[in-house]
Amino acid sequence: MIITKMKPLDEIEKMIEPYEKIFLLGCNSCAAVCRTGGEEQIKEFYKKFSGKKKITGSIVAETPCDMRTLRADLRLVRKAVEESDAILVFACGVGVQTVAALTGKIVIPALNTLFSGQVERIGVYHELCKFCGDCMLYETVGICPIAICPVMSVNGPCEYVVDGKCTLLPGRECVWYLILDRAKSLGLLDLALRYRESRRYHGALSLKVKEE
Amino acid sequence: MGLADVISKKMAIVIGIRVPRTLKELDDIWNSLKGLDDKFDALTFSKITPSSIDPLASSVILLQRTPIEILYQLECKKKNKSAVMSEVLTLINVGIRSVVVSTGTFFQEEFDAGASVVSDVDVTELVRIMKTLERGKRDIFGQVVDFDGKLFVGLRVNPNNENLEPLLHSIKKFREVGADFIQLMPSLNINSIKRIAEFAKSQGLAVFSTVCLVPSIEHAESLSRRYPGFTPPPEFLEELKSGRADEANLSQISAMISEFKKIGMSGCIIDGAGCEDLLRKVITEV
Ligand code: SF4
Ligand code: SF4
Repeated sequence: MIITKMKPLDEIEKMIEPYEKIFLLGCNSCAAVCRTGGEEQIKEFYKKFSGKKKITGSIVAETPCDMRTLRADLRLVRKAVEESDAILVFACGVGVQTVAALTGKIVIPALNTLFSGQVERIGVYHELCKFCGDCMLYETVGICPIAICPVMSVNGPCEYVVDGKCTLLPGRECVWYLILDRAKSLGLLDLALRYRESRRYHGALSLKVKEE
Repeated sequence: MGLADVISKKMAIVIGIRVPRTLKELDDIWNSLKGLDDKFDALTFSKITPSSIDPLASSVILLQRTPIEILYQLECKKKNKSAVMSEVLTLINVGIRSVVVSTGTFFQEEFDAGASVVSDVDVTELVRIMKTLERGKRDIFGQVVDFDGKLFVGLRVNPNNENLEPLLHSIKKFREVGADFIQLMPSLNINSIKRIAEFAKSQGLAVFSTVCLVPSIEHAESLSRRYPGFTPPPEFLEELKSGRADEANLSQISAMISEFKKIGMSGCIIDGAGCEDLLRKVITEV
């Protein structure tokens, strides 16, 4: 799940200020789950801004990051989109860019995209993957040291561990104490103890276009 | 004589001073230690502030003034592979042979501010890279490195843990990738120190322990950031409060050093970074 957070209202207001006619576009997938871009949030914004701006229309797109479904959704609201000066998008950064690419319009992000996370409950999310592109979760028995360890140590506990706890993330267990403990109970200790090279999760130089 | 040679004859003494913020500061520290060079075998720079002169530049400047042995603290988590490689090549070229690889010093304010940590290389991997370079005369990019010497490379281990099993596994891995020694961080847990030291020695690693000087209560607080889990004993803090910092440190350090000798440590790092005056007194007497 892509975790998003609503931008502060005054920041959104500043961005939409120069535009008279706004179209609202929400996301019925991740942002709906996070309650940042679903039906309810779009309605709320509609209420808040309809007095100040002309809202030409709105839609909660099924999956704004998917070009195929977004194209179909946009067809339903083509006129209202065309009429608008800008589209206020309640989706993650991928969604915003897909909207921009398919409409050619000025897009304004209403949300901040945070990370890919596990949902415990609304508002409590855990970042568990950094998209390193070379998953080691078999060896690390289902616990990701890249996403959870603040220094991304892939070979064992670092010098910041005290009594099995990570002193860089107060209150949290050292990810390597967790991994080795689970590996031991699963009989996979040798696997977890293997030497491995770091993964480069942010690889700024590689724009990933995967065709499979 | 390099550290690797020293430890074959006796327990080496390494002193730790702060990475300065100005060249004048470096001069002052070095001048205050003049005449005491027979009291220690190597010097290491420790970062005590989020920003300072580059530690490598400080080492090079010192080396230009005096042929001292430097134990270089190579931090790996704030640089990408190419930056780490440049640092390693510089070390080799300026004649530094003893290196302790660490994750890096994170000052709370720096970590909170989100100073990025780089995922390119971790400590174990960095030791492997250095040892591969030593053997294969090539860097990670496959370029030939003109280097014939031997590197004496170690990693830090924190003894402030009750469950030592994960640490012992790491130590085994350190050896497998070619490490020569471990540096135990300051701790009052002698049992833990002993157990780790014995295990490391059984794996063929030399063991350096670390003691730090604590001139004041504020200094003790700042040390717990650099050395997680380390807190001086309450009696010691009482002595600091009553203005007997020098005596308290002297007796504490002497006691620890004789304990380390009994354990058979290869070396002891006396970290006086940020309190070099006290360091001078201690090394003169210890
Ligand atoms: S190893 Fe890589 S792909 Fe797997 S969970 Fe961690 S960051 Fe994600
Ligand atoms: S203590 Fe453990 S979780 Fe924390 S930074 Fe070190 S290896 Fe990572």
